Amino acid sequence: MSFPVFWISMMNDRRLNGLTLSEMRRALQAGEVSSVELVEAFRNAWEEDSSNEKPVNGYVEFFADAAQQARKADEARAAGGHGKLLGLPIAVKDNIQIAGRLTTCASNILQGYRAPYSATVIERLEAAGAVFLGRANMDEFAMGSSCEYSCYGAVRNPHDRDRTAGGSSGGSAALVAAKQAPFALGSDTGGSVRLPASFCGVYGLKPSYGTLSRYGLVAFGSSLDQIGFLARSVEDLQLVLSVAAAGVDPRDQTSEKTGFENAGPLRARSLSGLTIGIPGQLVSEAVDPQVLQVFDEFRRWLESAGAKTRVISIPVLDACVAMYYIIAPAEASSNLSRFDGVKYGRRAAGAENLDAMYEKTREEGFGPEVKRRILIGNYVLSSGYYDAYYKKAQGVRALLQQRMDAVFEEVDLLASPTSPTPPFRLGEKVDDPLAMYLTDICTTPANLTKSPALSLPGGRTSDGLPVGVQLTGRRFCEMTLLETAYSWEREHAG
Amino acid sequence: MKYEVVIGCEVHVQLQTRSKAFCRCPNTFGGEPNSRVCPVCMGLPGSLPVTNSAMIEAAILAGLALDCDIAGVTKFDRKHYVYPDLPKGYQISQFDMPICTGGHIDIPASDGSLRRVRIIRVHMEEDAGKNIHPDDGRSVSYLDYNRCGTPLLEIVSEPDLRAPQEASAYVQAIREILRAVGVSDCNMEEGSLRCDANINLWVYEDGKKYATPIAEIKNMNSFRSIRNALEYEVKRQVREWEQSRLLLEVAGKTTRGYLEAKGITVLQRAKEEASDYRYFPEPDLKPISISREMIDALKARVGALPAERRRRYIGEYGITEQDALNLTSSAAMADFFEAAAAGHPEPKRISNFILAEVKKYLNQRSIGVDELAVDARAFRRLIDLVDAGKISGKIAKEVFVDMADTGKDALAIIEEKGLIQIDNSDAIAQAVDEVIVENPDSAADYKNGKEKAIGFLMGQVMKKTKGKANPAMAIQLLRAKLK
Amino acid sequence: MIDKQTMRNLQKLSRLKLEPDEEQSLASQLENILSYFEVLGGYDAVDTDLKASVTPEDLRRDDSAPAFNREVLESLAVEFQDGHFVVPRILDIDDE
Repeated sequence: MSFPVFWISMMNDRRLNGLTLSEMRRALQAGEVSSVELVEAFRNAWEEDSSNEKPVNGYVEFFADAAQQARKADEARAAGGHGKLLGLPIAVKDNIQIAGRLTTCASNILQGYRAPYSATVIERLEAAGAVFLGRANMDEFAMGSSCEYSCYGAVRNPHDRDRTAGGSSGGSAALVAAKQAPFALGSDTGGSVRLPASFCGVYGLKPSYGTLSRYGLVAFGSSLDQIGFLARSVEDLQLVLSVAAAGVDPRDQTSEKTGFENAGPLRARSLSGLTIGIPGQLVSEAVDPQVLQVFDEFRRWLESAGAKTRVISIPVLDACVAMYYIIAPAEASSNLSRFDGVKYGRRAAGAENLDAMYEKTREEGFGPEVKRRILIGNYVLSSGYYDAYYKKAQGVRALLQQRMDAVFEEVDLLASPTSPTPPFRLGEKVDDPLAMYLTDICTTPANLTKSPALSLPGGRTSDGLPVGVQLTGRRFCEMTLLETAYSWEREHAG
Repeated sequence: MKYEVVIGCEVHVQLQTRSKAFCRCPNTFGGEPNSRVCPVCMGLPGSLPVTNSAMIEAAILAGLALDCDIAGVTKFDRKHYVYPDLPKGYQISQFDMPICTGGHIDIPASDGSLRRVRIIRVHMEEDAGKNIHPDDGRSVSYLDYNRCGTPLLEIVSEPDLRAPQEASAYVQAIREILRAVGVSDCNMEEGSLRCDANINLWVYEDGKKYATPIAEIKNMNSFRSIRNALEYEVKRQVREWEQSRLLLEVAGKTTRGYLEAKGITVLQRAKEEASDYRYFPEPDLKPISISREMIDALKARVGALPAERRRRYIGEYGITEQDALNLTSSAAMADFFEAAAAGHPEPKRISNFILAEVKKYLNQRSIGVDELAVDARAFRRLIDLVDAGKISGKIAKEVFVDMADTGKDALAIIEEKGLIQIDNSDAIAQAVDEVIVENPDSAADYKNGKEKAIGFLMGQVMKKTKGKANPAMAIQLLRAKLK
Repeated sequence: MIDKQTMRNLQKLSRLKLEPDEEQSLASQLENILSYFEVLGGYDAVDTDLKASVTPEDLRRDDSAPAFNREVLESLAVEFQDGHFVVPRILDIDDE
């Protein structure tokens, strides 16, 4: 979608809110709008929503200095500055650190923690001139699929405020959907960008493991974590990717050279010549019929656009949720053992000795899902159970990798629903952790295989609830995903 | 009661690199508390480790020096335990794929023979911080994280040591070797070398062998305290055996700390409190593959190491294994020997002189060869005088002591003291004549075919010339005159 | 399989002390989740891939950079005194 620039000056806040990042960029370059105006529009939208009886609750903090950052960007532009993201407002998930600002991972244990340094991705965005709007709400330490496990309260889905926005980057997705931010950083360990993108009807990209530096992202599952993006357009995903993925980060040994910084503007591509596999395991009867219906329409579009599609069987996909909920909690139990009240964060008061201080701090500081995962993680790593759980899961993960490598010899992309269900009701699964975990059946494979995956807003249920469609590619084939999604967007969005 | 002492050591050595193991903080000793820390070594949220290539290099050098096999692929693992000086709640260490395995070093055993101590593994890990207990009346501890992230090697031996003094000798040998390759200063006072020992007894009774419970002894901060702590522990275990006859299978392993001031060990952790470290591969770091070429290049740098030197001494110089071991007891001694023996046709003679005379002198004065007033070149000049027939080997021994006492050169001493060998045949002939006249019986014995008698007569000639007669010349003259 | 002893051990490893009712509900949830993990039994594990490796030459060069400013640490710390982090007394053998 493109917006004639001359309209913009006539637009009120609400209209500015609806622009994509790329449209804002063009408007800023044309001098039709200022960064300060953009920031004020989002602040107004946030403030207005906050007074709602059922607020979205996407921001845990709207930065008081956002307008000031925007003013600086406007001044820089007036002085000839031309950073790729100059003056563009972006919301940041509360687990990605910005030096000097609070970073709490929506946890009581990090209350008051002010990041002493910035994440590499933040540094790169900042250097390109981005303006940070605020911190986005999330499931505590990114553990959850509904954004209900936050010390700041649940995020509500802007499309139906009694339903979840998905998790764990629910705040990021809801802000973009509710037009309180044009773009947001999230993080994706098992689907935490794509699931909320699907539930909120926006685009969500989880790049390949290694595309973006993890330095400064508070670790959850270190072999799975990746910063991702929530956006209103595919073009926006590509724009920010080209800035954030600029080369190997010497501070993250798992980051890789991708060349995405040199990618030119997106082109819609013909899909002829593309073979797209549909894993039978992810379109089974277990999937909600309305979701399947939206997916079928997408599949028909793929065919009409020239792609060949075929259903393929990848039985090991049925084991992904189990693998994921062993490996991720194992790594999480390790990563979260540093939160003990000794050096930073919150320390429980009134502990009579050191051991009591540890236990009390963690008991008070962590919420139920985090505790659950720490216990699972320690169980699967503990002596006597390591081989049966952790080692077995890693072995099946290697099998999955082999199978997926073979699959990608035959097909260019995989397509599936992003979630087996439309957004569910708040409270529906919060007491049934296993049911919550099964929400991640379609999204965990990409994390386990380090592949890039994208969720696009495929359609709606009869109740108007968003339904996402997921594309997954070979590692570092982000461009194929983006171009395919871009082709779809040009025919469907607007 | 007949028993054998069984000891295995875990030695931790801090590597001398410019920066820490996984971050760029300076790797130095001391300093203001918490002045050498960053997000990575403090384990702040979101920080990631980045491996220092110099740590890998140093670990390979150490492994080669200890005769280990170097792994083709190695990886790091997380080891989890709780202590306030461990900021992440886990230590980056190595579990099942250590960088070096299967080495050994040889040390002099308590019975004077050679003891081969097998090394199970050498692995890399990061050091923890330090805690301080202030005397301000408050029930608190202070934490200083400066030491956090210092690169460490852990060297684990088989339980091949059979006496407390062997454990001490083993640790000294490790220190010597690692200093020689320059990977660590191995300073026990500053904690750059630390040793824990596992010790128990094999008791022999009624034709059976019984193993007593293993105690891991910690907190031994000097070579002397290693010996003292283990000697105390042997006595304690003997007593415990006699009182309770507790077996290893039943009691397992406990941890005990050495209290230097009291000279005793005390229980720190009982068996049932054994830790579950929940090791798993460090996901933030990729496995490291080490090429043959890299190992070979580093091997060249380890050329002058004790084991390598011993092989050369035995193979090329024809020196016995025991002598080779003694010569390489310190790098300084081996250096001294090699410099003195350079280009000499019979290095074995030089080795004999060093191991007898030089060692005796050093031992009597409890000094090292590097503190000797005679350097290798001056020493070689002394040997050259013997070779040239200027002095006898016997006189050389006296001259050496003079040289070492005064720092004077050999030639100056023998000239000063008139010790130059008598090469003048007239002077020797006169002495020979006198000896024959004074010892008619021996002269007659020789003439009657008693070859042995010549030895006695030679001794008399040497005595008469105060040891200065050229022995070859003297014996030639003796034989001629007694024909 | 998640008996009281296992729960106690897990809490110790996790440094968590759960309330009795919390302990009970978590134990049954854990049991439920662990039995779900049995699905993995239907798949053959393959060797974990160590090929994705780096060489020592790829690793960081050994040069040092300035450390943190201590005021930053102090600002993060819960309790800080004389340049040190402060915790309740650590009991070890030095106190004997």
